[in-house]
Amino acid sequence: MTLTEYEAIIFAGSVVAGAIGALAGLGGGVLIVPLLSVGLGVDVRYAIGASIVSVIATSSGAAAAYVRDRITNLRIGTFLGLATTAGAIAGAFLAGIVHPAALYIIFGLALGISTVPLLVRIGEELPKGVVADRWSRLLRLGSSYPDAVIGREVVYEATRVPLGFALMGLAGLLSGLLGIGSGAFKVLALDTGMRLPMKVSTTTSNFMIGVTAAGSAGVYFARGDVHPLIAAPVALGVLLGAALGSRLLLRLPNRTLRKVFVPLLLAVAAEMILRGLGVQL
Amino acid sequence: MSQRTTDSLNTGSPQTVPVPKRQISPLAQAIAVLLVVGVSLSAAVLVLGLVLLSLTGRTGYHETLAPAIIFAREGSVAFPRTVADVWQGALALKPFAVIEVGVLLLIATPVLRVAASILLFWLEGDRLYTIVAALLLALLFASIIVAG
Repeated sequence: MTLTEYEAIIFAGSVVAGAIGALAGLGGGVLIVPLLSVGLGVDVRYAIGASIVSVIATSSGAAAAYVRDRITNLRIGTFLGLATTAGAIAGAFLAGIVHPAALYIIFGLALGISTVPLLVRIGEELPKGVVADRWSRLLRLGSSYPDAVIGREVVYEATRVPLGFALMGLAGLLSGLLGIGSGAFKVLALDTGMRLPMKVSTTTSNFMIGVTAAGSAGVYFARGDVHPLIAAPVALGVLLGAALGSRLLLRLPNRTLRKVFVPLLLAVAAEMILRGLGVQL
Repeated sequence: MSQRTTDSLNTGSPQTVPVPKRQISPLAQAIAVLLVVGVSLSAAVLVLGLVLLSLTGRTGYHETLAPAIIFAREGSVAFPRTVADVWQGALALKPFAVIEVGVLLLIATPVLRVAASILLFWLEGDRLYTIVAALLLALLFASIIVAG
């Protein structure tokens, strides 16, 4: 294949990853890393460097739409961003001394585990019976968003804030380690931990993954892992995909968001674990 | 709706109430515009870098373009890694450096967004979150400085 054809494949895959990433609150790294490393055979460290860029592209590409539509909870994103950013700094430094095979296995296991709580509540449209805890009241984390599918303003509360904060710190550590947005863990912390509506969880995660990734991107850039020939088509493709995905999110029920992603995440998780164990697909 | 029934202590939250025709604040709108501008600028520079690559057929760092460059092992492809080197290379219109300028612009957008949110909270008179957002920005800068 020619260089142009490779670039076109990376671009096309990145459009899909960006769209899915924007919908699910994931960085798209979940799809970009396997596409580049398992699919094309790119060095895993370059794949991770490109995925850090894709995380930021997903976040910023979708953000304009979500800010306008008032779905992102900026207070929650800003407060919990403290935990993820601190975790990411620690993780990025550990990444240089962890073996790639180990990275694959950690990545795969982490993803697999993250689908469990989503599976449990796969048919749920809005969380019920959520009572704000002390921290949520103090920090005014509850809010409301206009849901175009339900056709109403949905008022919601946040609970178990300390658990959410701890999970976010872990999410930050993982994203620094693996070059993923660890959006799956952020959605987990928001949706399962703090019991926010799915759309609020994915869009707020979307805001946060960009901030976390920007914090650790410098480490990857300075290490020389942001390969121009890979990062350029990834960034452009993901930006386009995220813009498309963010428009789609407004029209989809929360239930559908869950159903689309759980099987996808499980498949990728299995793939990455196999790769880490040395099984070529 | 096929919602699962939850326990009997259910308080019914979240409630749904009719959507009020609430306008988004001009500042939130400004942040959205800022993001679109930042992202578009980054995309334009990335495209420029790719165009330069295909016109010159060279990376700008002593290598001729070939698919093999994509599949090289980490560390074996030459491209700038510091802001200063990227900037110098871009001024010399080296294709790889121009691409990295686009990447750096993209990396800057979330930082810009956090900075803008400090202003947003402050103008809304939200002192607590002005401080939280400022802390977040400080932590972000700390991570960038530590990395550089």
